[in-house]
Amino acid sequence: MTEQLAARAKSGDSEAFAKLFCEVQDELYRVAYLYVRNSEDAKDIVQETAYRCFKSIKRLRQCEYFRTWAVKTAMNCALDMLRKNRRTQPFDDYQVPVETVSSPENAVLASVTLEKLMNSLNEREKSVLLLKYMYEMSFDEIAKTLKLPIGTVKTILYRAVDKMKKENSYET
Amino acid sequence: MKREIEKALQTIPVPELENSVRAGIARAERNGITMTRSVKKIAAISAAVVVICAVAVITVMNSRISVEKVLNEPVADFSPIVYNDATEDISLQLCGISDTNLVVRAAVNDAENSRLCGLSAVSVGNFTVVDKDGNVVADDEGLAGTYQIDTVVYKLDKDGNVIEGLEELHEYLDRAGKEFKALCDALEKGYKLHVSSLNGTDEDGNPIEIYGDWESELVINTVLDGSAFVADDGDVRVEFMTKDDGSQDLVITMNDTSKYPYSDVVTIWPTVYFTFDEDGNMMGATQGPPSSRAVRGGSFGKIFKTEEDGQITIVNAEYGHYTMRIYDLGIELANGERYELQGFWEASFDGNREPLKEGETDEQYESWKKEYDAWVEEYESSMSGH
Repeated sequence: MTEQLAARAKSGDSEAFAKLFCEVQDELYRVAYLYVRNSEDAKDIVQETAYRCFKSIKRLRQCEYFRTWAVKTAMNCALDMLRKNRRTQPFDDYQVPVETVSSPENAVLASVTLEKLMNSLNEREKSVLLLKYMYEMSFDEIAKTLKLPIGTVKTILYRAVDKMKKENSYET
Repeated sequence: MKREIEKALQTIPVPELENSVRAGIARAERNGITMTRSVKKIAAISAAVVVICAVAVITVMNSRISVEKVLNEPVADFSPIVYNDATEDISLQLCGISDTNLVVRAAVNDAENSRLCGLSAVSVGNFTVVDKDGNVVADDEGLAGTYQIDTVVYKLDKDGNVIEGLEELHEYLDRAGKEFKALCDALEKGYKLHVSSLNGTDEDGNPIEIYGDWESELVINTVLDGSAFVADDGDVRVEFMTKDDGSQDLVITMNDTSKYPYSDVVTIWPTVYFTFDEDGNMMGATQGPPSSRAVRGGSFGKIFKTEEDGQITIVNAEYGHYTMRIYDLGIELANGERYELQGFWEASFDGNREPLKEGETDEQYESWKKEYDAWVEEYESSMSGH
């Protein structure tokens, strides 16, 4: 189904693209939010991602990679926005919704993890961490995606994990 | 880890996004006016604004007054190739490389045009960068390319002069222009930038988008012979030194410690440095003094330490084969005195850890990987509550 939609989208069918994009838009928003830390900018990034993806979907060779491609585009949009604005919103405009927290322990874990993701890591570290663990890319794939030497990717990941680990042990 | 990240992401509430997505698609279909939130604020998403913008763009495209004063100052010695768009309203210039960014300079040629008069800032919108072989190395789509456009906004006055955002570049060119030019002559890389839109800001802070067709080319040609592993000009020695554990550090040694009392050194910075991989590809570049006690940017050294034997070690943080070139060193002592050491140093470094060829093993890398894997495992165990 996804591939059919992607094929139609590649031929310029905006409705098909909208349906296809709908499947990933929440995820894109959340990834964007990790970088910009506020809802309005994250929505702008989703819009910009939709714009860029629709404009260049013809160049997407393998439709099954639409999700990963869209995420990479969203990351790039977020980085562009950060570079342009050189500003981020304070973390305090975000509240962990009560309904997602099943226990006090989970609440601490969830909020701390999210806070660490957003505040402890720089943009590069966020990108590498997400691509490695969330999208399960290999080091080689991440290196190609971010155009970094593979050793640098490993070092960045190493540092990112180390940072989170240290914060976790510090807080616990 | 994946589970934890997913869990964390899931806690972010998602608002209604359909309108944003539809707006993005509509924009792509039109391939025109930006409909981001900031534009929506000033334009109220009205057709009238679209019309006004279109008229203004037409006005921009139809006017021309040449203003060369911005472009011909220190950058002239840098020999970039400057291209104007067809109407010569705005010039774009690919000036050089700073960190991993291509530095682009925009100048307004039409100081009399009412629309451009109000243009107080310019940054690059849609762009493509291609290398000398025609490969796209960076664009505004996805995460392509090693180099990205430096999105520092250049503020312009009403005459089109840059009033903010390029001071550092000016200083850089004044101090090292000739050396950089010499380097450019010897480099082997070339980039061409094509820009089809500029994002501007008027004096009231309202965004303006200008469409055009600009192309600029930066040719840098260097052939690395890899022969200079140690550089020494009498005052300063720059080299990579192998430590007992096999890793290597970039070490800067003050040969005359009476002249440069290394033990008092609190800051050291290269005025310009470049790093290259073993194929001669530029890995990073930077210039100017860092703002803090560190060597900034590029692939090398975030930390340095002074050694008792007169050496300043910039700790290597990366793996691989690199050549580093340094143009001029600055040193600040604890008493606030500063020294500028003019010179050119080049040193090569072979960490021999990355990239490993298929089937090849490397003891140091394996050791590092083992340590890394152990950390990850320990971390994941702690996160999963084991």
